[in-house]
Amino acid sequence: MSGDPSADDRVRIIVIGGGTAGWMTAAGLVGLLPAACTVHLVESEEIGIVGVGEATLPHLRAYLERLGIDEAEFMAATDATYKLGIEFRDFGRIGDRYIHPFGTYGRPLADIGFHHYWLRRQAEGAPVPPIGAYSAGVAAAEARRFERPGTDPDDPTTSFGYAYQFDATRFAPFLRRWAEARGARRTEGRVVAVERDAGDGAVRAVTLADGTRIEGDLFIDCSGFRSLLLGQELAEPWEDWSHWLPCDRAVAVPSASPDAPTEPFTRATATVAGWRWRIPLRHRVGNGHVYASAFCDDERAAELLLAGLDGPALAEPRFLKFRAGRRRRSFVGNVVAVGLASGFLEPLESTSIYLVQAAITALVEHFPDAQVADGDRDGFNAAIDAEYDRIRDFLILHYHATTRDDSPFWNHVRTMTVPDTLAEKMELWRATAQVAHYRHGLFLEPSWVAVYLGQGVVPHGWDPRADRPEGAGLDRALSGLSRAIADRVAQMPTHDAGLAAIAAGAGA
Amino acid sequence: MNRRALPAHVAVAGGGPVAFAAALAFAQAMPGTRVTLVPAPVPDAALADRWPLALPSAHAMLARLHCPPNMLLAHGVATPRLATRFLDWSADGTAWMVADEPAPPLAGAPLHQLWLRAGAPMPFHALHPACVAAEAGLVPRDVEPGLHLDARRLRDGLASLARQAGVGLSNAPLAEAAGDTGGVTALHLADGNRIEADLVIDATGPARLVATSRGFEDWGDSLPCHHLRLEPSAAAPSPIDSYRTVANGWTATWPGAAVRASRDATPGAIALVPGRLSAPMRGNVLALGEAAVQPGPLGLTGFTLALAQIALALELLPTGADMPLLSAEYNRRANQRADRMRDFLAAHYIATTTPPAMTPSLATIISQFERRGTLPPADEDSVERDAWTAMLIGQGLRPERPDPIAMGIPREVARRAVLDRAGQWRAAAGKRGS
Repeated sequence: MSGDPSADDRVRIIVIGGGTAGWMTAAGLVGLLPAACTVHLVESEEIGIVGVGEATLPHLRAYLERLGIDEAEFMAATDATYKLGIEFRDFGRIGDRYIHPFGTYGRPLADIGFHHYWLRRQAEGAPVPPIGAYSAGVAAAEARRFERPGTDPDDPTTSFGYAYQFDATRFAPFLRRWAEARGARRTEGRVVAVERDAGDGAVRAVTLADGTRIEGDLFIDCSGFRSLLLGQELAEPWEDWSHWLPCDRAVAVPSASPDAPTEPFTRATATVAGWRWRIPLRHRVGNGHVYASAFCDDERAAELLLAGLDGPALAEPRFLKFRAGRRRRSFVGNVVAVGLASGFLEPLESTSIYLVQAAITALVEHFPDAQVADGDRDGFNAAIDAEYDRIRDFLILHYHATTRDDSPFWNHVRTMTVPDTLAEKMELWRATAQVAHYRHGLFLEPSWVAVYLGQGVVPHGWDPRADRPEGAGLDRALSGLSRAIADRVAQMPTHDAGLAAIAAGAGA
Repeated sequence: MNRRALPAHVAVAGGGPVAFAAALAFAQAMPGTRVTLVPAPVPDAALADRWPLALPSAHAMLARLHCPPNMLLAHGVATPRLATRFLDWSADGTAWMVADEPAPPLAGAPLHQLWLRAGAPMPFHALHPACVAAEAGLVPRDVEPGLHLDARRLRDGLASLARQAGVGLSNAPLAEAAGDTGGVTALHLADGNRIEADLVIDATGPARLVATSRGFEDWGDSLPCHHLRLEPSAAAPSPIDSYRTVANGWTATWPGAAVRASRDATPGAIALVPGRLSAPMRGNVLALGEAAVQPGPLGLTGFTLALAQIALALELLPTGADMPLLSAEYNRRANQRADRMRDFLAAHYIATTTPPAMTPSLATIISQFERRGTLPPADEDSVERDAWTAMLIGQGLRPERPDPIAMGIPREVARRAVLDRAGQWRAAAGKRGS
C-alpha cells in the first residue's frame, strides 16, 4: 500500500440510492476520505425518497462541522429552524406534557446528581416547579427563544444542546451539490441486476435498466425500505421488533405555518393508536401521524392527523408503511447498509438521520481496503448493534411508561413484556433514581431522567445524601438556579429573530 | 419518604492506604454515618498498599480525598513518574516508552497515524513531551504525571485526615469475620469484642480476610509474570520506571527497589495470584483494591484501580434496602474496568516468545489495532488511550491498513509535521535543562 498517486488504489465505493442516506454517505466519504476512496452514486428519479426525517439531533452539527459545511448556508438551503428538544404530549397520561431537552438539568451539588435533590423536595411536598425549569434548553423552548449555547459546561444557564428541523427534500440536493463539487459521481438509473463473485459471493457490479454496468469494491446500500442489496440480494435475516414497537404506518402532510412564533422544538402528541409529529420549518409545518394498523385504520389515522393541524393542509396526505426492526447485520460481505436499508425505528426521538450518521462514522472508523477483512465488518456491526439496541429500549420506554388505558393500543404497550435490558434499567431507576451508566452512544443520563420523570416513572428512593441539606437552604439554591435560567432566557433573542438573521445572511 | 437510607455504620478492614482512603472517602461523603477502621495486616502481595502508584485517571479521586497531586508532590509524599521504559521487550530489541498522560495532538489525524504516514522517522515516544523531558531527567511543570506514592507517608496522611473526618479506630485488630450467605454479620476483634456494621469494606488486599473468594476468576494465563522478588536499591530517583525482559520474566526499577518478576515460582518470592472476584460487592461486603482485583506487578496499577472503585462506590452508594440492584450495577462497571486493565497488562506480553492466553476482548482489541491502528471503545478504562497506542506500537505492532484520513495528507507534509514536533519537544527539554 503506497498511497502514491501513480497507481490509483483507492477503494471504489458505489452508493445505491440517493435521498438523505445516500447523499449524506457520499458527502461524508468524499469529504473525509478523498485519498482512500472514490464515490459513485446511483439513483433513480423514478423512485421517490421517504424524506420524513425532518427533525434531527445535535450530532448533525458535528457532521456538518467535520465536513466544513457552513451552518447558515445549510440552514438557508433547507429552510431550517433551530431545535432545542422534543415536546411530548399525552404520553404518560392524557393532559401531561414535558420537553425532552438536549442537555442536563441543573448541576450536581456535592457530587450528587441534581435530580436526586429535586426528587426529594418534590416528595416532601415543597413547591418546586417541574424539573424542566432547571434546564436552559427547556426554558428557552417554552419561551420560543434561541441563542447558541455557551462554552462553559458547568454553567447551567448556557449549557444546552441544539439541533435543526429542516426540509428533508432539500437536504439531499444540498449535499448532492456539495459532494459532486468534491468529486462524487452520480449516475441516473434503476438497478436491475446485481453481479456476484462466484467464489466469495461479494458483489462485483450492478447493472442499470439502460444496460450500464457499474463495478465497485464496496457497495453502500441506501435503497431505503427496499434494501436492494442487503435484504433482497444477500437475504440478511430481519430481526422484528414490532411486538415492542407496534406502529407500522405513517401518514404525512405539510401545513401552512400559523401566525405565531415559530417553536424551536418538535412536538410529539400521543393519539389513541400512536402519535402525531409536528415539525415547524421556516416556510411550513411538517406533520405526520405514526400509528399501528392493528389498532387504527388508514382513514381514521388521516382524520386524526388533519384534525390536529393548526394551519391549512398544503397537500394530500401521503401514506407510508414500515416495520420496526433491523437486518441482523448491516455490513455483510462487501455491502454496507445505511439508513432504512439496514433497519427502521420510528422517528419518535428523531433518530433516523442520527443512525445514518452513526453508520457513516462507523464506516470511516472501520474503513476497509479493496479486500474487506472480518474485523472491519465485526467492528462496524458491533458499533451499529449498540446504537440500535439503546435507541430501541429508549423508544419502548416512551410507550411502556404510561398509565393510559383509554384504548387497546395503550393497553397493549402498557402491559407488554419489555426487553430485559430495559426492564433492568427501569427497575434500577424506580428503586434508586440511578440511571444505568454508559458513556458511548445516544441518550445518556439526562435523556432517561427527562422521559422517566416526564412520563410519571417516579423513583421510590433517591441518593440518601440528597436528604442532608436543610430544606429551606436547598429551596433557595433551587429557586436561585431556576431564576438564573429564566433571567438568562429572557435576554435571548426570539427564535424568529435568529431565523430572520439566517435568511438575511443568505440573501446578502 | 426516601426508601433509600444511609448506612448507620460502615466498617473498613485493612491497614494500608487503600483501607484509609476508603474510610476517609466514606466518612467525607456521609457525615452522619459512623465509620470504623478495623486494622488488619498488610500482606506482602498487597502491592496497591505497598507500592501505591496513581495514574492520571485517579488524580480526581485523590483530590476529593483532600490529597491533590500538587500537595502530595510538594510534601514529598509523591514522586512524579512521567513514563515507563521497556528494554529488550520488543521483537527487534529497540527500547520504547509509554507516558501516563495523553500526548498533545497534531492537526489532521491522530498522532500515531501521522507518524506512520510519515514513515516513522523517529521512535514514537519522541513525539511525547513527557517522554522527551523524562529522558532528559526533567519534570516539566505543565505535565500531569503518574505519582509514585510513599506507602507509609501516604497511609499516615490518609489516617490523619480520616481521624479528622471522624473515622474511629477499633481497639483491637481484626480476628475474623462472621457471616452467613447474606453477608457479614459481625467482625470479631482480637480482644474478643465484635463490631456490627451495615456495610463492611474489605481492604485487606489479597488476604481477603472478610470477603469470600468464591467466584474468583484466575488471570494467571493472561498475566504470566507474578512471582516477585524485591531488593532495596540505592539507585537515584528517576521520572522513568524501567522494565527489562530477562530469561523467564522481567526486571524493573521501582522507587528504592530492584524488582524481578518470574513466570515460575522461586523460593522466597512473593507469589501474586492475578485475577478478580466475579462479584466484588456481594451481600453487605464490598471488596476494594486487591481484595477485589489483583492485577499483578507490571505497572503497579492496583492502587489506581482501588481509587476508581472507591469513586464508583461513592457514586452509586450500594447500601440499604436496594443494595442488590445497586450492587449489580457496581459489579458490572467495576468488572468492566478491571477487565480492561487485565487486557491492557496482558497486551504487554503479546510480542514475547511465549505470549499468554488471549481473552476474547483482548483478541478483538489486538486484531482491530493490527488491522487499522485504532482501539474499540470502552466505557470504563483507567488507562489513557494514548498509553494503549504507545504500548502496542512499542511492541512492534503496525496496522496493515493505512489510516484512510491520514492517507489524504501527503507523506512529506506528515514527515515535516512530526519532525518539527519532535524537534520542538527536544528543544523544550534542552532549554529546561540549561
